[in-house]
Amino acid sequence: MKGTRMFKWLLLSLVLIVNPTLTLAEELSATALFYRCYAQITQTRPDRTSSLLAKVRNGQTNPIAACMSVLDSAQFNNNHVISNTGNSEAKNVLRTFHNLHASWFQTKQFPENFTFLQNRSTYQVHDNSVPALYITRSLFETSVPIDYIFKTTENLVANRTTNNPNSMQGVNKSEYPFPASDFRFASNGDLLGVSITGPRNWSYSYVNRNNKSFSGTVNAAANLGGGVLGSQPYLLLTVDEDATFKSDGAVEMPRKWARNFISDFLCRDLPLIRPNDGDAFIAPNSDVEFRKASSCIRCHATMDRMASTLRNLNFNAIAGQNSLTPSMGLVVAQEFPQNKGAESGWPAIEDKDYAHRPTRGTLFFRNYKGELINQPVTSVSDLGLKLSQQDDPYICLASRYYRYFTGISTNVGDIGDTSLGYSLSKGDLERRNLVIQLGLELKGHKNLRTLIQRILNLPHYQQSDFSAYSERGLAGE
Amino acid sequence: MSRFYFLFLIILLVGCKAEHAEETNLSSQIPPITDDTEMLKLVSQYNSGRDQFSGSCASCHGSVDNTDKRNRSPENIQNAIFSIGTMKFLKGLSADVTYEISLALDDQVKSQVEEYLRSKDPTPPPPPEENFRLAEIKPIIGTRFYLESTFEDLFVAPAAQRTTGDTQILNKIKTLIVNQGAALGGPCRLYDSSCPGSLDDNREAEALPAANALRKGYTIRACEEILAINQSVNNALAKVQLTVTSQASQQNIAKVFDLFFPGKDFTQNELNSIARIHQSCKNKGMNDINSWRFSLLGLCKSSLLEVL
Repeated sequence: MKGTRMFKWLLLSLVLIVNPTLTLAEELSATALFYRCYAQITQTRPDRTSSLLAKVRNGQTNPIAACMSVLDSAQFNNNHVISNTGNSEAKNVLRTFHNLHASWFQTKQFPENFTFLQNRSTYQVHDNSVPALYITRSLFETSVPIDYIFKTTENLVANRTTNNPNSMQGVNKSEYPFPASDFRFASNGDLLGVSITGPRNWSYSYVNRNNKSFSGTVNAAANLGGGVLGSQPYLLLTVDEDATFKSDGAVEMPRKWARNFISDFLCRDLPLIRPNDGDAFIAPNSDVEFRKASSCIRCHATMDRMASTLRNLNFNAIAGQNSLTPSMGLVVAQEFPQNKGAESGWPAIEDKDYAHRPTRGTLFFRNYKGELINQPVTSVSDLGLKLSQQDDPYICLASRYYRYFTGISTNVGDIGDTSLGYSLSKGDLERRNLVIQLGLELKGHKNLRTLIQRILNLPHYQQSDFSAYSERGLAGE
Repeated sequence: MSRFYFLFLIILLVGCKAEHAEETNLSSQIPPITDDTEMLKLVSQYNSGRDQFSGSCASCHGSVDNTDKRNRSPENIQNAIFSIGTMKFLKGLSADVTYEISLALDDQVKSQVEEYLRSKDPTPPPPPEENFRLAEIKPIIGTRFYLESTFEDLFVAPAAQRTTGDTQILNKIKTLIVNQGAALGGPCRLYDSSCPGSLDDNREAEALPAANALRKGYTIRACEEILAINQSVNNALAKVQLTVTSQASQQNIAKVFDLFFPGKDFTQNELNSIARIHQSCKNKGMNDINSWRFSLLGLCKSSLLEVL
């Protein structure tokens, strides 16, 4: 393509003229608003021949109502899948939001702490976006309240166009030490909805390299409680320990799991308490250094005492490099038996029986109001229940959706903690308060669709710049 | 008779003393605390007692803060364990543990501990203005999936009318847009039906991408290479009922603007700029398709195309 320098300067001037940063903030037209929300809901442009677009252009339909109807096209039916599995628009909606939900999780890749063939099998058997499925299901199945994600004992897998493939990444079922009639690869293809599986009690049998036979049964879908917190994929993603792992109360604890769900579901990073909140736990004679210093206790007092609910976690690493035939392996998260008495308080020295004691812990953090939450919990299930009773997880969710639709991040932590050394501007405070309000509303109605509709109907959502750069605030919203 | 009255009075006094003993607060038996170390020890024992109560007692007696068994001494607790049948399973609790539980049940100890912890956390002073830290604000721009849809909407014919030129355009879109998850955002996974590009890049691709030079490079290159294909120019104009021989009138340019930026307002200045480009091309002897090509190129390269 030929051009002269003159044309390039003319083009440059045109680019500069048609540049959004030179455009003053303005209220979007109905058509522009529809294009915006449609794009955010589907990550596509609307079909320019669609009757819905025509109605918006003609003023027959409110653009936000039109977008909500597009969102609703992906609602699940009684079989937990979208009603019309051939509807590409509905599949785009489902894909967009499921990928959005999956992007919120801090850890997206299975750690590789086992043998090569066991690590590889984890990807083949478990879809690493399954933790997000719990949120996705609640959004598109409106009978499922959002606190379900912490309280359910159901095990979810993705329902895709191919749900029981015979092979995955070139590996066949016969290469696994499980009966082909039981064994399941992760589904693949377009996401259509969710499937709820019961226990997956797979019997296994293999011969190791010393010619010794191994056999047994594992529940490959075991949920250790607390909804998504205790689901197999979430444990495999976040615990990040190897087959020798065993909690001892002091040195060895599933801390990364706690740190992950603090980030994933509270939108916070450690520490979650103020200086000196944890000083009562300082133990000068402890086996671990972090029990001797106030600054270290500040993270561990929260993290370790939540992680203690998962103290009995045990990874069963089956077959893999260790076996002759078949060759593939699998890692399953399961539990040590509870056959020892309870300890008194948070141990400061290693306890070899810790993993066999009752799974007590404490929910210990400063919430968004600066209140110190200090609640004993008895298990991962109880931890999930207590989390669902707090305001912070709902405010976290609200802040994430708000950010997706407006691009604006909000601080939902303990802003009264002066040790953090910063404060919020007037505009940021107003947006924080708005997000808190949205979160508390979500806690009340527990309906993600209602939250999204609320955000799209905010007056500043309909401004070209979301009023993001204005300190005039959001008065009246 | 007076002997019986005297005996009766003694019995009453013993009863009063016993009742008074039951109400004796543990806190009154704790020596005054004068330093932080002792106070921290009390706090630690208090917290431990709360944990113990929750684990051993709450199932029958409710939460430690709301139970009707508050203000019980260690002796009260021990007596209950050894005399009440349903509590005998707690015989194994040590004296230390029952002491800590008693601390946790004591109202005065509770006040003392809470006041101590509050003293460690004074009301924060008003923040100095130089400590303001603004929250992150990201302009909302489309991911690669949105851009793919946009480029197809602008430059590719409807499926039933596609030609070799459309296939070339679709290949350009795939190479320069769809395969660029890391630069343009739009996560996907190996389980998805279509997840082109590197697995690691796809998994970590942003759902809310950021504007940067790399991204702009890909979109500008996509505009230039796609518009280098004549079919793309013809398709774009056809979508607004124009052809390459159509005049670059104000009305026609407005249609093209709306094609690229639906529903967005534009100024007379912007319309005139496109008209000037078109006219300049004609004045230089360029043919119709090239005149429109340059006109569309400027619109394609605009950031407005990807801003939502």
